[in-house]
Amino acid sequence: MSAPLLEGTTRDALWTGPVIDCDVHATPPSLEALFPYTDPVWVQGAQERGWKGPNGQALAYPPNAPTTARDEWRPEGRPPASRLEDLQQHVLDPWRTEVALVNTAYGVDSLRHPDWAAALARAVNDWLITEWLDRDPRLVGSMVIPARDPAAAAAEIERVGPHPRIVQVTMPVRSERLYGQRVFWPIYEAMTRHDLVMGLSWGGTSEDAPSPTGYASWYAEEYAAEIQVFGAQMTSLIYEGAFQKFPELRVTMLESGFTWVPTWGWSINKKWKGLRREIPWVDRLPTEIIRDHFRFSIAPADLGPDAHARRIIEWLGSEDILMFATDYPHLHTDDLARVLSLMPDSMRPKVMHDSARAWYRLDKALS
Amino acid sequence: MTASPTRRPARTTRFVVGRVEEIPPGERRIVEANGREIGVFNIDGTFYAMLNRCPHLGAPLCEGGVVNQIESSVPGDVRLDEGQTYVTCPYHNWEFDVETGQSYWNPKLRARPFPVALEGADEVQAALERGELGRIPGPYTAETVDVTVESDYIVLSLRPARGGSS
Repeated sequence: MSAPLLEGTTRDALWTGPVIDCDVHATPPSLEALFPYTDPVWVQGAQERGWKGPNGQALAYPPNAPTTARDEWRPEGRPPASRLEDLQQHVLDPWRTEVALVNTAYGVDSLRHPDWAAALARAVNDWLITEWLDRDPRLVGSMVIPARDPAAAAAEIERVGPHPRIVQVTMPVRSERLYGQRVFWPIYEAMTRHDLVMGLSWGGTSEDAPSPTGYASWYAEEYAAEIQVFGAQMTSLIYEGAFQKFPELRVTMLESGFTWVPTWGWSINKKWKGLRREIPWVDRLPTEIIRDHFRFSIAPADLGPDAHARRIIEWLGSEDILMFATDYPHLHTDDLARVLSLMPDSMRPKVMHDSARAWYRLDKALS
Repeated sequence: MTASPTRRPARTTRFVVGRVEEIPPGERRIVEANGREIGVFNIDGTFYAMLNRCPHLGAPLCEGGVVNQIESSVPGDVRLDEGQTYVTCPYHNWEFDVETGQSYWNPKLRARPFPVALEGADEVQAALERGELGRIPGPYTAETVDVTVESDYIVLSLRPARGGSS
């Protein structure tokens, strides 16, 4: 049994209660694998051009980068996380996972063709539902959208959102515009109408450089500095008033880490106090909005020394906002036993299952 | 009533700031009364006073801006409420309600407002003679009260009361 996160320990030694994993990935093994779910005009279009699929995925997760997949989770002859059986064997069975949320990015946003991008999103979603959700009752899904075209994105949410086990909409953290802006509101209108969470995920294609200012020289730099983009999107959503416009809007930050959140929160609180006249719809402290409208996966945890990490968790100001994730198949080296040991007793069940259950309305999704 | 020679007279808590005309609408004056700096504001003909000390970090609050509340229910809905006025601190631009002293973002945080009254010259002259009113030192002092001029005087009270008055 291959279960690296459980190496040197057992699942029960780590945690005896239920486990809900809010971030596992499913990657279409190839564009051809999506053909059964793709309108024939685009199948032929791909064949005519010899197009092998959007390039965004490989830019965000270079296939052989050590962070892209654990060695133990790299199967022979197919990409990591491209087959349900691998997920079951690597994560769901050893962890006895009660529910796992499957996130599928596939770099749909890196395809700028307005019709094809929407068709590709439809294909990925139907593939996710048919080949993953329909085949394992432990799974709920995060749908993809053509995020560059809010009207088309809203239409896709209308089409797929009613599926009971679709609980989230994946939006790549790098985008052509900041997500708080009003141009995206049709997406949030559809999302909240179907009670779906916005899953802000690592990766994506910005209109310019992948950092808020310029191109990084190295992948390592880009990888490490992506926190800035998460912070920029969080600030945009809060300051633009997305949560006043859509009080039901909920956002999960996936692969963002969380240790930066308290100090970022202090900063946006302070700036709001003095500059809030520009954004008068923001009617309370940004950190209160964060506690009500944001959740963070604990993969990666990016902890420092124990004493500091314990304090940062306290500074989050809420026991509800962290959720367990393996981020399968990506490589993180956080020791879950240590992460849990830094939290108050009362917080651990929330992190391991309760918060995700409530946040994603899982009792309803799986009824 | 005359003060007993054996008793110290009660410390004056009311001060003549000046004639109404001396602080036209939109202007303010920072005066010293009983050793405290106090800003006296004329906002559209109504007078307000506030301790010149921000409750946050002690900055000279009354040197800040005077702005109205901006109402908004959702993004895009932006309305000026001229019925509510804030003094904004020059350090951090925090807004304090000119009537109640309450901070916009933290209702527990209050600047200190003082009552202001407008009184007629006769009344002020009599109160000065009885020693019930103090004079504010400085270039703006109401040195003499000209009872022949039909003018109101701005009288500041240091009694801890909330709310402005006209």
